[in-house]
Order: sequence, then C-alpha cells, then structure tokens
Amino acid sequence: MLKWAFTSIYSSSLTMMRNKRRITYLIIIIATVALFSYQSLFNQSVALSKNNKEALGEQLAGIREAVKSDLTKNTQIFLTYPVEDSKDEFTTLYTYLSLGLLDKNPPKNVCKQFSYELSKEEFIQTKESFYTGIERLYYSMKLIELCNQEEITERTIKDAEVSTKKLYHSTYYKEGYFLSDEFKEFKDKEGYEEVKFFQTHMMLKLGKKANIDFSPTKETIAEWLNYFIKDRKDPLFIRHYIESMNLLNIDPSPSIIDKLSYDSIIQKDYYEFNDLLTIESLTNMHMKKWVTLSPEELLSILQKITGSHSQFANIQQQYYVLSIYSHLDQLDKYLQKDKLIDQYKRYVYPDGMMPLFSQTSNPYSTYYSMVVALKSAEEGDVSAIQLQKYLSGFLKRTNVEDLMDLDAFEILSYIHLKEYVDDSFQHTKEAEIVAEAIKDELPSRVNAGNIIKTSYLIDSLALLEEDLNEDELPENTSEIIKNLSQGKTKLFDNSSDFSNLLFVNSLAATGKFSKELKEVVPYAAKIKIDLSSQVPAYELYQKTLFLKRMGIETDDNKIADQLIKLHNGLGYKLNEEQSFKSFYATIFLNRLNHILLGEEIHHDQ
Amino acid sequence: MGAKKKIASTLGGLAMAGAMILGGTAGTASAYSDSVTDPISSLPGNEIQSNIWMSNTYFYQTQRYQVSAKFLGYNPPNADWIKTAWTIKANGLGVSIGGVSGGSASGNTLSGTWTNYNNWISDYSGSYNISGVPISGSGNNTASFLARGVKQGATASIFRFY
Repeated sequence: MLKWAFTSIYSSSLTMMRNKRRITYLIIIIATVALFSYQSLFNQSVALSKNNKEALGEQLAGIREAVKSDLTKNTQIFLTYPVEDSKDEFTTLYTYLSLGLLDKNPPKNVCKQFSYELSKEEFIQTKESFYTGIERLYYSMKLIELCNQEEITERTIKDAEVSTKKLYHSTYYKEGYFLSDEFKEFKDKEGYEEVKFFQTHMMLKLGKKANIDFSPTKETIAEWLNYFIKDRKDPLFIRHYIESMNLLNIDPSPSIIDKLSYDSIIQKDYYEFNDLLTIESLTNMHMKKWVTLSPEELLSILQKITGSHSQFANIQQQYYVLSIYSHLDQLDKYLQKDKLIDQYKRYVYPDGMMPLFSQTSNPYSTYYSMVVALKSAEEGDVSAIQLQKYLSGFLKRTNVEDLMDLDAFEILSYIHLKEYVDDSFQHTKEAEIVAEAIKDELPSRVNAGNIIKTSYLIDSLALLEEDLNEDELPENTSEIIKNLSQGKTKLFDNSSDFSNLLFVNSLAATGKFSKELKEVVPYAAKIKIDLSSQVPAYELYQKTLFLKRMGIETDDNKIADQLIKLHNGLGYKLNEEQSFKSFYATIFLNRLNHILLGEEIHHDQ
Repeated sequence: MGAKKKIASTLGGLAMAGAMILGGTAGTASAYSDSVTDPISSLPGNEIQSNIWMSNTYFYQTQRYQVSAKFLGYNPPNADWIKTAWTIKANGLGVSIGGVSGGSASGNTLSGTWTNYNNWISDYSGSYNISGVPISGSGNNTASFLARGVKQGATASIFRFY
C-alpha cells in the first residue's frame, strides 16, 4: 500500500518536473514523510495515558517489592498462591484471630457461617477438619467472641453451651484430664500428655463460659495438672497451668513462677514456631504481671519479631507474632497492618471464609517469575544481586539430562535464568549442548497434544540464538502458518487461540518465516480478548506480543485497562471470574506490563 | 526442651512448605512432580514429606497421578496416622475431569484423601481423563500426620502446561 503510494507519487512527479535535481529533492522529502508516516502508523503505539501509566507502574512496584521482601526476609509472600475455589477453616480461624488483634472484627457473614456450623451435631464429632472436638469448638468460639455481640443470636449461645456440655462429659477421663475423641486411641502413647494438658485448659475455658459446675471433678483435675507440671519449666506450660488452676478457682503455688526458664529462648538469633509459642506465653505473663521482663529482654524480643512478616504464607505464625506485639502493648510497631488487611480483602470470599494457601516450588519458573519482577529494579539493587548470586550456584547443579525431563516451560525458564546470571550464556559450550538436546526433543510433527511443548522448545532455541534451519522444525510448521493466515484456525480438533498464538510467537522469536508470519497478523488482530472467558490472561499476552513483534500498532491503553482488571494484589488472575492470582498469568502479564511501560524491549521481526 | 517441642503439636501447625528462597532447600522436581520435605521441630530428627507426580501424557490420553505422604525418621518410626490429600485442577476451554479412578471429580477439579494408621507412609495412585482444551493446570498434595501428639502438614505443588 505504502509502496504503491510511493511509486504513484514518484511517477506523477516525473511528468510535472523536468529539472532532475528538483525531482531528487522532492523524492527525498516525500520518502522521508512516507517513512515517518509508516513509523507512526505501524511501529509506535498510542502513548499510555497518565492514569494507566501510574496504575501499571504501581502494579510493577507492588510485585517488585513483594519479591524483594521474599528475597531479603524469606517471607514467601510472592510465592504464596491461594488455591482457587478452596475454603479452609484453619486459615479462616487464624485470619480473624489475627485481624481481631488489629481491632478488625470478623464480618457478619463469617459470624453467621460459624454460628451455622456450630448448630450442626457433627461440628464437634467430625475427624476430618484440622481441628476437631475440643479444639474446633475452642477456636471457633474465639472467632465468634470477636463478632459484634449484638449479632450473636440466643440460638448460637445455646448451641455453644450444648456442644460444650456434650464435650465436657464425653471427653473427660477419670484421671482428671480432657481429650477429644480423635486422640482417644493414642492416649497412652508417648507424647500425648501435652495434648491432654492443652485440651484440658481449653475445656475449662469453654466450661467456664457455659457455666459448668466443675466442683465434682475439680480436685481430680487439679491433681492431674499438678502431676503434669511437676518437672516443666517452659512459660508455655506454666502460663496455661496457672490459667487452668485459676479457672478451677484454685490458687497455684506462688513458687511455680520460680521454675520458669526462658533466657536461652529469648537470646536465640531466630525464633522458630515453637519459640514463638513460648515467647507468646511469656509476654502474656509479663502483661499480667506474673513475671517482669527486663527492658533488654523486651527489646531483644521485639527485634526478633520485627522481621517476621509471613502474613498469609503462614497466618498461624503471624497470629502468634501479633499476639506478642499485643501483650507488649506494641501493636503500633507492627508496620504491616495495612498490607495484611489489604491482602485479606483480596483473598476473602463473599461468605467471609478464606482459601487454602499453597506455594509453588517449580524448579526454574519460580525463580524466573522473580527475575521478571526485578527487571525494573534499580541498578545495584541488593535483592537482585542476592538472587543473581544464589542462582549462580543453584543453576550449576543442573545437568542437561535432568533438564530435558522437565516441562518445556521449565526449560525455557532455565535458559532465561542462565542469561540473567551470565549474559554471554548463549555463546557457551553448555548452551550449545542444551540447544542440541532441545532440537532432539522437537517432534517431527506438531499435533494437538504437543503444540504447547513444541512452542516453548522453539522459544528456548530462539532465546539461545540458535540459527535454525527450517528443516529442523516440525515438518508441518509451514502448513500451520499457511492455515492460520488463511483463517483456518482449527488446526486440530482441540485447537485454541492461545496455542495458535503461542506457536506463531515462538516462530517469530526465531526470526524465521518473517514474510509468512505477517500473513497471520489479520487472524491474530481479530482475536477478541474476553476477560470472562477461561484463559484471557494467556491470550492477551500472546496476542500483544505477536502483534508488537510484527510491528503492528496495539491499543496499549486498552491492554492496560485489561491488565488493571486482571490485577489482584500481588499478581494477575487468569480471568476476571477468578478470585486469585495465578502463577503463569502473573509471569506473563507482569512481563507484558514491563513491555507496555518500556521497561523491557520486545524484538521486532 | 524436648517436652516443649511436642507442644507445638496440640496448638496446631499446618505449616506450608514450599521452595525456600536463597540458601533454603528447593523442592526436588522432575517432569511434573514435586517433593517437599519439612523438618518437624517438635520431633527432632523426623521429617514430613509430601510428593506429587503427574504423568507427562497428551491431554487426550489417560492422565495418571501418584501422591504420597511420608513420615521420615525414627523418633518415632511410625506416625499414629499419616494422610495424603490431593487436588488436581486443569484450566483451559470447557475443561472437565472425568473417568476418575482414585478421588472424586467435580468440574475441572479432582480431589481425594487417603489415611494410613500406625504407618510411615500413605500413598495413592489414580487416573483420570480430561475433556475440553486444557492449557495449564496445577496439582497440590498435602501430607499430614499425627505422632506423639504432634500434628503437622506440608504441601507440595505443581504448576504445569498441558
């Protein structure tokens, strides 16, 4: 079209002008204007609006900060993924217990939900949940107590009383302790004394609220508690012992406090979960003035817990950290409050329940996702250097044979990581070996089952800057391009726009088939990204990347709007209907975000 | 001190395990598999291990999977119970899981649990078929146990393309 315009202008100029020099000048001017127009039309995207630029910048920064925190504090926040459609009682309980310490009450719907569960007979009978029997009722009641008390019905209070009384009678053992049915068959085995001790404490607390008269069994229970505490010095036991005795209206011996031993735990460099439990009890006793911790001890505790921000990567641990802050009346020093609440809002289901959280441990793509996130980090960024240093050692432990057994996206991620630590990797002997191994993996023909794998293998070869011969590629490669350019997009019975785009994108990355791939542009440009469909995040990334590689103008503001809609907290969702960020969607769309903001340059054909 | 460590048990502890960053132990994965091993601080010397493996077959062929929970160590050698609980999910176009052997399917998700008593291992293998166009998927397996009053869990996860 442009060529035609140029020829036409040139011909008419010839007839009008006789002076050769003037014609030459005119041609130069016209050619310059034509070239400029071409560039503006096809090579430059419409600039991002200020709002979109800011929003995308914030998304990049949010992800980057989470990755930095994971790298420097080992918080594992970025690598924590809520499991779509899952609901988890354990996480829900500890979430609201944590938020309760931050003066945020559970919402009405979750209070209703737990009240409803409590009304069921099987609530205290099931053995399927993580907490069962006494523990399940105890933690659920702790949550219900945080609810707006005006909203707690008489029925709920009655149900709690009924369950408590049932448990009180069914879990009591004549020796003087309480134990839920789940543990009954193991009760005489080593290690269950502590289970009995804590469940007795919980039962006494529940019983007190349900106005149960302890007097018939009080002495036997106290006797058992005294037997249990005899040789124990840990604040965790002593605190719960004193509380239990108080619930029985028996004064514990004042000398019990003298037995306390906690110096070595306070002085530890790092508090593990069990240490946190001990410190939590110790600070609880300090708050109640049962013991007095020195300013040095208090400072030491605060210093250790300051770096502990596991949040939803380990909400139970976070709860105990918050509880320590609370006992020391130092909650204002917990600087992650807004972040925790913000994340909670993103993860909570409409009924107030929380999902199960999982962490990815894919061997290479996990780190590749972090490398993408740190792409826009400032020069000399500590966490980026730390990652680079770690990866240098980690990647050395890979051998090519093992690598080839992995998912093709892991192979691609591995090469990205190798380049991250050594930008001359493509020219090394190892790269050559990897490239040969990948070539051996390429199938003779692309089919419905291998199109995704084949695409990532070709992408990997392109990243290794392999100068591929077309005959090294699957034999139906040209046929696929031709079909797509003719609008025959159902390559196989189960073809998808995503796999089609992925395949042509991988070919575009090799620099081969330039002319043929341009013919695929009309098909790619026509693909509509429906955010409510199943995998729009993948399609959006592949489509945009392909069009940009082909030098086609993309509506970056529209793409930015779609990124904004798919963004959820620390990552990107697979589609608008999903609640949580997805692993691959986050890698792809974070990369796309970098491209839109000009932080990463895509390579044109 | 030993006694104190057992305490963590009753107060809970479904600690998630995953890839530790920088200096930690990354999950040892191959093809479509993951293995996560977590120490049990309340039972020094013992570990809980979660494993998941998914076959590297075309999506239109029968998919196979294996999961296991292992209670490793001799302090004690066996758990009172050990459970493996898994969820496998496929995302794509009109995806649903059917033809299940082992676990139960609902829509694009397959899940199941298996518990062994007085044992160090609980494992399960099964198969399923996928209909529709799967593109990516995930698999999680949570291994949990009860031993000497300690209850703890570890989760292994896979993210994969079909």
